[in-house]
Amino acid sequence: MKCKEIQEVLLTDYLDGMMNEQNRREAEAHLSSCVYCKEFMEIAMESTVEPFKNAPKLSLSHEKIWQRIKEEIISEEKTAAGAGFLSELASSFKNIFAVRMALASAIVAVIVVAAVVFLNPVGQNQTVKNTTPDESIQYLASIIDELSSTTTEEEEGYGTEIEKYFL
Amino acid sequence: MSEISGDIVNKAAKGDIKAFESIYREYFEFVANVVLRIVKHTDDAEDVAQEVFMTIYRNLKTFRGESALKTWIYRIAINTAINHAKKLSREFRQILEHGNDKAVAHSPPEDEDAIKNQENKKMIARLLDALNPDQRACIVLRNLEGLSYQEIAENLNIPINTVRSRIKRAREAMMSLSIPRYTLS
Repeated sequence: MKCKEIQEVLLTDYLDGMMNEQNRREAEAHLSSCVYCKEFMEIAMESTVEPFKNAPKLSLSHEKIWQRIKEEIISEEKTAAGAGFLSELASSFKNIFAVRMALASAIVAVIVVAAVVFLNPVGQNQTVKNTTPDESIQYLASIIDELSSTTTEEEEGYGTEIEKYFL
Repeated sequence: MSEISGDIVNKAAKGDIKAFESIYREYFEFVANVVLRIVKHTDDAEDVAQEVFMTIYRNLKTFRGESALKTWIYRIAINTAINHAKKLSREFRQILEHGNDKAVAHSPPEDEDAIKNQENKKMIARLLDALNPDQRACIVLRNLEGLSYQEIAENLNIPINTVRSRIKRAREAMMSLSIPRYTLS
């Protein structure tokens, strides 16, 4: 191994004790014969590994942070609950609107059926038959004519004396 | 550090705050130490620690146990801290504060051991200050948390040779800080 290669390995696997047996022996053989690399290894150990040994753990305020987390969770749950209520409300409005629409549709349908039945009555001496709109209109016009002709007859009077008196 | 049971994880995932508190208490020390080492400022570190646990809380229902809960939490903590440190770097904020006494000392040092301890903390802070957030995370996990290269790779979701490379560059930077003539060319 050349000095540069050994120094790269020293900074990682060797210092961290992660070399396999064969590579470690090779590195140590080089270190025992190269003063420069041996000094490099000692400096590396002293300046990059030793200071971290027995280093105390740093910590933050355990309770303070937990209180903040708890508050944030509660706040998020309230927001979520509020959003849920609004969503339910919107859903209820939707349902009411749908029911009203269905009711209105049903009423319109009843009116249409009633109109059709009125315009095309079934019973007495008439038979059920399919009619076109034009036929319905003609039928309606004939009823009106009949009614108006009856009225004319009535208007012609009953031939009583009192009528004659007023006329 | 013992593993939290699956039952507690399930309860916490369903919004049981007591169960989530158990998870918080189990992993707080690791999260606090790593976040504070990477982020540096106490106020920022508190915000990041809170963000880490809120991320855990919100995503517990998606945790499928493909990795250990510990690995999953470590990954969230480290990545959140690194992202925060990078964001601070981008905003040109002064994140490298020598000493960080506010974070590490709750009372002034009174005896020789305490003074030595304080100096050691300052030395570590100075060494970590010389590194970028990615290198800092690798050194914190290796030198302070004792994780293997493989574990670091899993936690950071990067190849093991990237871990090796970051550690090498980090140590070169720390060596040149101590003794400028010791740099690999």
